[in-house]
Order: sequence, then C-alpha cells, then structure tokens
Amino acid sequence: MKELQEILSSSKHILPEWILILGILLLVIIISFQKKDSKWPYRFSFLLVLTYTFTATYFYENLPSEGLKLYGNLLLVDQTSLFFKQLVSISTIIFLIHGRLFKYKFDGEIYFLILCVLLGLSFLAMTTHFLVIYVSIELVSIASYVLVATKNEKTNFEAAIKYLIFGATSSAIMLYGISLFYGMGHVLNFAEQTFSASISSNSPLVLQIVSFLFLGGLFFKIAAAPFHSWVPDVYEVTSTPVISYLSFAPKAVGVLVVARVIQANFAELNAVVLLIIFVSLIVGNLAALWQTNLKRMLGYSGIAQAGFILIGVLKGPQTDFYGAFFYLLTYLPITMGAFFLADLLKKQSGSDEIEDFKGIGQKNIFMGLNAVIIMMALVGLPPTIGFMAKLMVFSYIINLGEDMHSSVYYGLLIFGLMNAAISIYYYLKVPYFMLIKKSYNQPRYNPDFFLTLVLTYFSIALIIFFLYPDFGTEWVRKVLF
Amino acid sequence: MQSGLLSSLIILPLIASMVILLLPESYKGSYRWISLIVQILLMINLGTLIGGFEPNHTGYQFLEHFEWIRLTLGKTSILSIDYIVGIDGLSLAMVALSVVVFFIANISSFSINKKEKAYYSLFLLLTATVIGCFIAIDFFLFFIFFEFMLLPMYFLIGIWGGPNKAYASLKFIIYTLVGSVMILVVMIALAMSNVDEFFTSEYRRTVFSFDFRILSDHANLLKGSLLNIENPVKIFGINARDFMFILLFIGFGIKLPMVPFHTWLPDAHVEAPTPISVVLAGILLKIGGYGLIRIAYGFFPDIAIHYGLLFSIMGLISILYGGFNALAQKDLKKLIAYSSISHMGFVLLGIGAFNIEGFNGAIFQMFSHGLLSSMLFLIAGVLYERTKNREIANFRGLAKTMPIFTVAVTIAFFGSLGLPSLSGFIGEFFTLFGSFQARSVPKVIPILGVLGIVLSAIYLLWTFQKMFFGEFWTKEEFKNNLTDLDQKEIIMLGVLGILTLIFGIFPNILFDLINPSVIQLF
Repeated sequence: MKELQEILSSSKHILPEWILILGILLLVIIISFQKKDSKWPYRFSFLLVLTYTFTATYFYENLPSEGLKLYGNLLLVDQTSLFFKQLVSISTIIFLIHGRLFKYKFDGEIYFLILCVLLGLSFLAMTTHFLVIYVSIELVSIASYVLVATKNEKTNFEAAIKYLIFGATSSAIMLYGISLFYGMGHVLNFAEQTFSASISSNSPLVLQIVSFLFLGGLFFKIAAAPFHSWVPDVYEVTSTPVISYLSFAPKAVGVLVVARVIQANFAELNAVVLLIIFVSLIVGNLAALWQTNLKRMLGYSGIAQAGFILIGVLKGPQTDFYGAFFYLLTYLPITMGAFFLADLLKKQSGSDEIEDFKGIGQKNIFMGLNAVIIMMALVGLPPTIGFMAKLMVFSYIINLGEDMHSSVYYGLLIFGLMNAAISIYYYLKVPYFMLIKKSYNQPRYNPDFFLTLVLTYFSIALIIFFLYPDFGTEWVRKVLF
Repeated sequence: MQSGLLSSLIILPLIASMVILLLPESYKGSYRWISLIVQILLMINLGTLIGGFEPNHTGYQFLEHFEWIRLTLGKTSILSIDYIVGIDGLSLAMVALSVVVFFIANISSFSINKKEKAYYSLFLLLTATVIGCFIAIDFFLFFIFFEFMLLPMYFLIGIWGGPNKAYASLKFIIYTLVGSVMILVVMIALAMSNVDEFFTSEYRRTVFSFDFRILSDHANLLKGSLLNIENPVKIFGINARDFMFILLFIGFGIKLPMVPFHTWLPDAHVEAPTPISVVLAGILLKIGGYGLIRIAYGFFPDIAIHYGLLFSIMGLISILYGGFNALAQKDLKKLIAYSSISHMGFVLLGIGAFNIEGFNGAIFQMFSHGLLSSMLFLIAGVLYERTKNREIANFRGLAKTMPIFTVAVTIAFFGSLGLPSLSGFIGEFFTLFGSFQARSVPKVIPILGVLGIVLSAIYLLWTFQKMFFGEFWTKEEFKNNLTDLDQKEIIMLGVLGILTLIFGIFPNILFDLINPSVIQLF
C-alpha cells in the first residue's frame, strides 16, 4: 500500500510527461483517422510541444534545490533537468518550424517518432537510475533508427542499418557495463551514497573500465569518437530538419547524463573523458577537412564539437559543468542554424555538395553574410556566441590546470585551440564557395527572401547573444549542481 | 571625460559600412565617395585628437569606459569585460598612421571596379577593426578587433586578388588564426590571474578583469594563480609566465612577420589588390609590433628582459633573410614584400634592446615603414595597373617616359634604404643605436644588422637602375600604356612622400609624442 501511495503521489509531479504521453496517444489516433497528407498531425504536434514546454517551465514553482525524488528514486526532477527539457523542446519547436517552412511532406508518423524521441530524452534528463537511463536511451534510439529509415531510398536503409547495428552494439556494451555495476554492488542508482560505497572495494582500474563500458552508450548518443562511425552516413542521407534535431537534442541530454555520472564521483573518470576528448577533436576535425558534402561535414564537425563540449564535464575541485551547459545552450542556435542554412543552400543549388554552392552568395548577399556568421560561430570567432562558448570551456581548462597541477590540461588547451584554428579551413569553405567562386552554369535561382529572413534570425541571435550573454549565463547559472 | 571622440573612429566606419551594404545597387557610384568622406572625417577627428593630446600626461587619455559584459563563471567568480578605449603616445602614433594609410588606400581603391558594394563595406569594416585594435584598452576588446580583422581581409584578398588568391587568402587566415589562438591562451590565462580589487569587494565574488591597466600592474595578480610571480607554476617544465610570454612572442611574431613564420606574407602581398597590399604592409603588420610592446612587454616586463637576446637574434635573422630573399626576386611586388620582412626585422631588433632608445626607434621604424611601404606598394600598383605585369626585367629606362613617377620612386627607394633626411633613416638608426646600448645583446648583432641596410641599398638601387635608367625599353604591348602618373596617383604618392620628408627632417614631431609613453613603460 505504501508503494502505491508513493506511485500516486509521484505521478502528480510529472505533469509535462503525462501531457506528452497522452498527446502522443492522441496523435496516433489522429494519424490513423486522417488522410495521408493531412495537416492535422503537424498542427497537433506543434500545439503539444508548446504545451509541454510551458508546463515544463511553469509547472514546478517551489522546487527544492536538491530536486524532487520520485518513484522511489527512479526519477529526479531538479532545475538541471528542467533546463535540459526546455532546451530539447525548443529544438523540437525549431524542427517543426523548419520542416514547415521548407514544405516537407512529412507523414504523421515522423511527428510521432520525433515526439517519442522528445519523451525519451525528457525521462533521460531526469534520472540517475541505470534502468531508466537504459530504457529511455532505447526509446530514443529506436525512434531515431526509424526516423533515419523513413525516407524510402536505398541509401537511407544503408545508413539506418549502420545506425542500428552500431547503436545496438553500443547499447549492448552499455547494458554490459550496467550489469557489471549491478553485480558489484546490487545498487542501480549511481547517485546514491550506497552505490559508491558498495563498489568502492573494487580496484580503480576495474571501475574505470566498467564506467567506460557504461558511458559508451552515452558517447554514442553524443556522437563522440570512437563511437562516431554512424555519424557521417546518417547525417548525409537523413532529411535535414530531422538530422538538425538529432544533431542537437540527444547530444545535449547525453552530456547531461555524463555530467551526472561524473558528479556522482564513484570513479576517477577524467582519464577516460580526456581520451574521448582528444580522439573526438582529432577525428572530427581531420575527417571534416576532406569532406565535400556539407551535411557530412557538419556531421564530422558535430564530433569535434562534442569534444569541446566534453571539456566542460571534466572533474576538478570546483566542478559545476558551467562550461558544458553554456556551450550546449549556444550550440542549439548554432547547429540548428547551420542545418537551416544547409537546407536553404540545397533548395537553391539542388545539392548538398559544397562545390555546387558557387555564386549563390553573390546573387543573394544576405544569405552569404548569414553563412559567414553561422560558420564563424561554429569556428568560435567573435563577434558570435560561439566565441563565448569556447572562451568558457578554455578558461575552465586553465582553472583545472591550476587546481590539478597537471600539464595534461595545458596540453589539452593548446591542442583544442589548434583544432579550433584548423577547423576554420573547412568551415570557411562554405562562404568561400558561396561568395568568392564564380558559378559557371547559372544555378536555379529563386531569391527565397522569406527563408533568408528566417535564417537571419539565427545569425542575429548569434550576435546579440554575444553582445548580451547575461541572459544565457544567468539561465545556466541557476541550474548548476 | 567621455567625449566619444575615440569611439567615433570605430563607429563612423562601421555605420558607413552598414549604409553601403543597405544602399541599393543603383547608387553604385556613391560608395567610394561615402567611404572617402568617412576617411576624411576620421582625419578631422584625428586632428582634434592630436590637438587635445597632452604628451606629458601619464597614462591613457580620452578614456571612454562602459560596462559591457559580466560573465558569471561558475558560482564564485565573474569575468568582467568592459568597453574601454583610450590612447597614449604609442597608440596615437599608430592611429595616426592607420588613418593616413586608410585614406591613401581609399583613394587607391578607386581603380577597383568589381562588386564595389561588398568591397567598400568590407574596407570600412577593416578600417574600424584596425583602428579599434589600436585604441582598445581592454584585452577582450582588443582581441575581438584583432580576430575580426581577419575576415574582411580574407575576403578582400580572396575576391579581389590575383590568380592564386584562394591559396594566398587561406594561408593568410590560417597563419594569423594560429597566432591569434596563441594570444587567446594568454588572454584567458592573464584574465584568470588578475583580479579587479574594487569590484571584487563590491560584488563579493572574485572579479577577473581584462583591463590593460589592471593587467599591467602586478599588484593585482591573484595569489596562487597560474601567472603569479612568487611561486611559479610549471607548464611542460617551463615557468607559466615564460610559457605565456613565448606564446605571445610567436603569436605577434606571425603577424609582424618574423622569420620563420613569414611565408604567408609574400603570397598575400602578391595576390592582394594594390590598396589591400598598402593596408596590409602599412598597418596590419604594425599590430604585431604594437602587440609586442603593449602586451608582451607591457604585461610581462619581468620576463621580457630575459629574452632580449632572442628578440634581437630573430630580428637579425628577419633582416638578413628578408634582405637576401629580396635580392633574388624578379617580381617587383615580391621584392617589396621581402623588403618589408627585412624592415620589420629592425622593429624586432629595437624591441629586443629593451631600452628607451630601442623602443623609440622601433615605434618610429613602424611609423616610417608604414609610410614607405605604402608608397612602394602603390608604385608596384602603378606599373601593374598599366601593364598587368610586374616583372622587373620587363622595364628599362622608365625615367624618360615617366618623370614624375621616377621622382616618387626615388623618394620611396631612398627612404627605404635609409638615406638621412628621409624617415627610414631615423628608425633604423635608433633601433641600431638602442641595440648597441643594450647590455644583454652582444655587439655583433647590431653590427650584422647594419648589413641589412647595405643589403637594402643593393637590391633597391639595383632595381632602380635596371628599371629606370638607360634606354627606354619595354615589351611592345606595354609601350602605349606607360603614361606618367595621373592626378590621383600624384596625390597619393605626394602626400606620403611629403610626410616621409617631414618626419625625416623633423623626427621630433613623433618622438615628442611617443617618448613620454615609452619612458613610462620602463
């Protein structure tokens, strides 16, 4: 009876998720009773995500600072999880608008799957429990596999199969790590005191290896090397709004879970994370140098960016993950803006190949300017918010180096900065072809003023956010552990 | 006193740049005039600045200070970034140089007739960022200008450049970006070690500051921080302060450019259109020297004095390597580019002396090189515009057909090779003089440095003789095009030539401005 009481009282506290679950069920009904090209699934999903966002923002008024523990510690509602839920739902809204503006004829099922991803991420954002993590990751993953496969083309199946195989493997590895942890301590919630006490008798090396296995599934979602091999293929073939969403949302929440694991402090994980950072930076940047396809390049750039983000979760005496969270906040407009740009370029040139963008910026100078600003933000040049984000993580490394008295961090600092310098080569290729190269064959040119205007919102946001970052910094500061 | 005079130097070109961008294409003819009017307004503002400047006043003048960003770093500290601009003698000299050179480059831009809208808005953007770089008193602000300069430059070379422009512009941006990344490391490290006492007590949280005045005062160093002086932190076995100083040395050395980081310069110069070459040689290189004096020496004086020898040797290598390379060039523009490397070597030599004479000489040399190299690149542009060719071997006896041009070339060449009574002489003399006086520098370095002057005499006089004396001869297809200077070119070369003469004969005009600021540095 006590358990039932607990379940009932806990259920009151996850209203946003209830709304989402009921909404998704309703959406399934709408899809099955409407014609194939009906607009209602879109309208309904939009409304649903808006409602979800508002409840997630305003439902929790007097949240205790350590958070609410629900369902016998399966779920944890705290400011941090709210922050990430807001981020993810904003990116869902951008996805919906993006798809609408480019007149994608999505079947209703796409919206259903996207909402399933949102649901999975929303649970993933509020847990420190191994099983909930595993289940939510599977929910996100399975929905993503189907999302990649939905466009009925051969390349999509290939990418989806790759994604599925790599994804299933890393899930299996993750599950293996979880079972080893369970075997060691018989505790499934890693944030509990009993957990770290129960596994402390094992040697640190064993703990590191097992944590690495467990984190593998998360690094797969974050798209950090060496768990990255699905990225380029999937990015290339998936329809742009979907991949724009998948490039941000799972990455953000994945980083949050990694941060929670590091916060729980049951093993010394800096070495593992450092390794991942070094490999991600070098693999992402070097591979991106050779890409000719914009979406593939953005995929590799996402791997490199994952490396930069993970710098913020390194453990030090004053860890608060400020750098990582702030980076993620800025990464939302940057990466989704970049994919919006990619879609607009595809619309005008009919291809994703960077070489085919010749001359587009000369005909439409504002689009060229937008491309410059968005790519600058990806490199991390001022005056865009990308610079502030890089400044945060790099000043965090300097702090770490001071506190830990280890030259590794200074090495990472210089290595990271050099990578940022190299990255300008491939990011600048886009504006380079748009603005500098002449087009020999006249491209199919239609001005698309309205879409350019929307793109301008992204780039203006990137600059305004640089000039007045206080709004962002205060938002992030509220949620620190 | 917050007069807004300094800010206007940044804001005017920025606004004009936006205006040009938004004006419809049918106003095409007006872009160059808008740009020129802005440059003239800048000149007037500069005049007011010089008039109101008090050389013997200590510290920065015309200060404008606005709070900008209070970036919260975690729970315990705040990064305070302010908009602060101000000038002292050193920056005033550089600002004056930039305003003059941009004015000249703007006139020279009149010959650009491809995509004027983009050209002039980028050109004005470049004006704003370069001037901003010299008047920023906040490291963060300085860095933004420093970094943002790259993009207009990249496009100016990349769109309006010569046949190999793609390679040159990319090489330029990657080299300079690597340099600026090193400066970024130092910027973060400095800011994380220096505390603004006043605001720290006000906010009750550690307030890190980028203000130049705070960074240059060692009393603000946080105890136990990365760059503290008492117990040095080691990075890769090197003291953190030394490490940061070397990063700055390389970072600004790339910009200067210092051999062996110079290879971007000849490429960029050869491909860039004339006005952009003028700006690049005339001002952009000076930011390297300015940064070395203001930032590398200004914030790490305790470290810098140990590196006098390194500076001098690198300076000497640049002087000789640039000189010998210039000897071997067949392309006039490439020759000038290498002579630039050689002449900027004197700046490094002067800074390496770490005494008042050396610094004065280095600043004077930067100023005079700004004028002279602008002239030289204009001269190369005059020939290129008429014939689309710059091979030295293609021209002979130009003095007969182009007499006025020959006068201008005479002033520029003799100024560059250090003829007394022209400005080049004063700069080289004082840098060498300072270097002789420096205790940490063996006498053999300035002695070999004098060889640089001899080298420049050889390659410049040789070129002069080959191109201008003897029977007039050139390729058949160029003959009709080789007319003497037109009015526009006379104005540009005339202004620069007269300035060279004035500063050669009355160097005190400049020394009186910069000397008090230099003395304060020691």
